Amino acid sequence: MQHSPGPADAPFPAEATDSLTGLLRRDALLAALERAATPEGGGGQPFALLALDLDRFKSVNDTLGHAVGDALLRAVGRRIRTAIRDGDAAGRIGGDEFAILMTPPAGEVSASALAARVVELLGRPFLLDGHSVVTGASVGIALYPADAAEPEALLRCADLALYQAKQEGRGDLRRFQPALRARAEERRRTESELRAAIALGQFELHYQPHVELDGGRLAGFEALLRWRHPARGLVAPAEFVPLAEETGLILPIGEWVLRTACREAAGWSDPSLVVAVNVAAAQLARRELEGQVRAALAASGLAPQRLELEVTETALLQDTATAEATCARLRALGVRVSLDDFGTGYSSLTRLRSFPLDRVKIDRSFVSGVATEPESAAIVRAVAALGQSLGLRTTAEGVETPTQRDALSANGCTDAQGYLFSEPVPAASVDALIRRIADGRRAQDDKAIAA
Amino acid sequence: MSAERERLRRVVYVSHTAVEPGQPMWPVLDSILTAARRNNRRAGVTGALVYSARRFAQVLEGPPESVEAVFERIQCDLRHDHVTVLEVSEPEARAFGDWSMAFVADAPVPAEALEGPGGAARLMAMLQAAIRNTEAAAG
Repeated sequence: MQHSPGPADAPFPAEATDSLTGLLRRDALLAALERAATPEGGGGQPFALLALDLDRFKSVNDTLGHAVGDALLRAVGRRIRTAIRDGDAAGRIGGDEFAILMTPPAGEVSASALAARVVELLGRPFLLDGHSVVTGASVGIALYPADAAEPEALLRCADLALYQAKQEGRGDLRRFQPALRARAEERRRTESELRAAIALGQFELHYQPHVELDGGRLAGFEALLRWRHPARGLVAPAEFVPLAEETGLILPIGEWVLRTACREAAGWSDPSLVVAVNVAAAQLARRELEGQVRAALAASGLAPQRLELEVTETALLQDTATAEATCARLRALGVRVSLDDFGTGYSSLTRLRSFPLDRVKIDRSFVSGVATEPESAAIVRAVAALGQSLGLRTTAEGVETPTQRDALSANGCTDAQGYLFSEPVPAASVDALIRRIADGRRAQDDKAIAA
Repeated sequence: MSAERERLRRVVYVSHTAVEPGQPMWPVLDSILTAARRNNRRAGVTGALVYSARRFAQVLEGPPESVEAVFERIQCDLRHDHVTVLEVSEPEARAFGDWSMAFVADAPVPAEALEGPGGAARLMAMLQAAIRNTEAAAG
């Protein structure tokens, strides 16, 4: 294996190359692409364009420093030169982004073979300054003229395929598909609609009750975001929240939710009820959150004790120290903090002890099996017992049947939420729901007395 | 007499052969070893290679820059894949100082058993024993 089959060390003219990697500079690569796609200039033959970038370059740079990062880019340049065929042009077109122009004849088969070779070579360890570094790479493939006949459009096709490769797990290659263009188009449209949605008043909150299992008293409501889209109707969060998180729009949306939930809860007929508001990871990582909570409480007149913020395990993992400090300050105001979807992430039971919390919400995946699977029941029991010993309330999410409710109660849960009690209802229906639940309890009591 | 001790780097890795099953392996091993011994002697790198059950395991040791350069050249070779680095260290002394690239085939411990915790140490011990035995038999 110490055979050295690589091509000459400098296959490209010096004035056109990037001094770090020995590959073509961006402008030189684009010029080569332009020539290859111009039939009048002797080009126009079918060729392939590969876009690639490193999967973990940033973390190498951040943890081992820029000198090692540069050494990595240098070695990546060498491996790319090893992988390409004579006559192919490879360039560095951004920080850790590269492109390979495969000269004709190059179709899907040879392009996929080269892409696989690049993924394999760049997936192997690098030995840099005494560190073994594994960075990995993803590759997108576009074909001229099948995918696009213009250089820039072709590069966009390769980039879309690369984006797809990254979305689907990295360390792999993807060929451009027209559907990717449609999907990117759709994302862009949704993003701009999402940007306008706050100003256009298209968001609304629906409320789902949570009740105390002992006695069935209504304890409060969780505020759930909905998007009333003019053409698509009521859009569920799963369809737009991931995009909102990716684009940072979750910050203004999250602030709107906080303000609106406090205002609406302040008007409920029962002033003892708590409103629970979900807080995204990005919000929790910012210092503004505390100020936003104070402002929302002040503007609405809602007592801090009536506001509960739900954070997820994943949000806590991103920057534990900041999240912990923020939650501690919020609790000092009187606001409560609960841990959402417990059991689906990576938080350990240790976190329950160290983190400033008032409540743990047990994920629905354990709740659905609590009456039928001994394993789910055991998990529910363990979390409830731990919660009790730490002075936390435990809420079961997604409760659908009386059997589940009884099993949760028997296993020590204190509260529950789910379709058994009510689906989420629009803000205007909250007071009616409050009355209905109170009437239901009275009827139960009357029955108990009559019996 | 050298006053300063030589600064050393050692890297230990395992990989799989990418040569098709059924294809003869000896010509490949021969070409690998010939190139390795020539290049390593020039670079001041010593080490050992084991091939067994379609796995390679290799130790490289020498001046840090030379070891990193030799390792990088090996990574560009498409005759192997599934490369895993078991150890990167700065040893006090060379373990294979007499060998530009000692070779052990069909080792008593299959190379696949070397992946996992303690693999690098097991490999070093196994290689040194195998080379001592070979020397004793030849001597």
